[in-house]
Amino acid sequence: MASITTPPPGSADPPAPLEWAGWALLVLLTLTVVAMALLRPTDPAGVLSEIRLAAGFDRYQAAMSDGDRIHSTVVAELRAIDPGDLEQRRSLYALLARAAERYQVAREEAEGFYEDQRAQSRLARTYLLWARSLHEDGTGKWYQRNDERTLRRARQMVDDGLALPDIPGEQRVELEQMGTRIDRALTPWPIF
Amino acid sequence: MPASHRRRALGVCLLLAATLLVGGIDLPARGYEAFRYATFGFTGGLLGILYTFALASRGVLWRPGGWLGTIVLVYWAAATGMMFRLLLPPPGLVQVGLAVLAAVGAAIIVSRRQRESAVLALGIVTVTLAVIRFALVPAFWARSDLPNWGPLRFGASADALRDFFVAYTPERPVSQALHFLALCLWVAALWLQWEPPEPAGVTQPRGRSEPSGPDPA
Repeated sequence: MASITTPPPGSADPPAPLEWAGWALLVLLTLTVVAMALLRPTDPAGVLSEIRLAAGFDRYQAAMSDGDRIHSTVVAELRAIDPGDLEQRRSLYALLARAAERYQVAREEAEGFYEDQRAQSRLARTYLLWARSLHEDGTGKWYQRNDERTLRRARQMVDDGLALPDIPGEQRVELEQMGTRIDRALTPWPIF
Repeated sequence: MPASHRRRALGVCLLLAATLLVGGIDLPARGYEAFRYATFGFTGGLLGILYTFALASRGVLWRPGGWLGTIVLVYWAAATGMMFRLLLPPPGLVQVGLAVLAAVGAAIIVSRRQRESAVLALGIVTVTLAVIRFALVPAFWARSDLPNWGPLRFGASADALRDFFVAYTPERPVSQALHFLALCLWVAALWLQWEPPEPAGVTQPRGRSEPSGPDPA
């Protein structure tokens, strides 16, 4: 006669499927914490763009969208913050560098002249915004000495923008005008 | 290893991992960041290890045998470090004083005979830190500003002086709810393992429990 035996409570038995799911969830949570600590995302849209770029799905559009998002964030923030808050402005320049990096990725992923030109135009727009802000930082009141190092960096931004081969004419003119203003600020006696 | 121990440990680790995830999210009130994730720093991490040791020695934290016990302790230390990140004020002289006080609190926990007393001491440390962090520091910050009078930049000087005491960064109100949720998850993990699963055939009377660690006397 067969007897029914129940295992004593607390005895070792193989994990049930639900328990395996729990361990998998624990690994997933831990990996998410590590990824968040290392990547330090600041925006849900940025997280999606990173995933799209890493997955390699439509990398051109992902890079362009992320660059546009970062650029518009910087434009809004530059209007909101105190112009004298240089620390905050520097953190925004780091964002502009990220936007420029995204547009460079878009250029690498571009298929054909039109897509490349579109990425170049956005890149030139970013350089122009960066140079304009640096020009504001580097020039003070009439009795204050201009910060030549910042102005030279601004000039470098303009030169990088002008080096792009296929940007529209009006953007090239804007960059050249910005370059002239920076050169004037760099000259000790503009009257000569 | 008994399956009941394994499942209990899994539940505790899941709650502590959720504490780590939720507790690290900050929602700044100013700036372009929608959110940011911050782990605990050196001070918070050391306090986490110290409190894990203190609570484990008083039998407040259940530690299963084998490798699972090590994993559980690592999660406890990390989640407790995150708890101190949430409770300690931002860096500055105020944080220095409170971190030292919290370390003294760990010594008080080790000196308790009963688990309940140890947890009560931890609760007192937690409430003290929370009141200073969430009530005193924002009030001090809001009432210690100075205006800039033309070339006399009193505001910048006041900011520098305040940063020496506490480098406060305002956050959105919902951030407090999020951090409170993280603390609740930590407490839920503590509650889940309060009565550890007993091995087969062993019965223990319910009531005021004695610590499983060494006798403090």
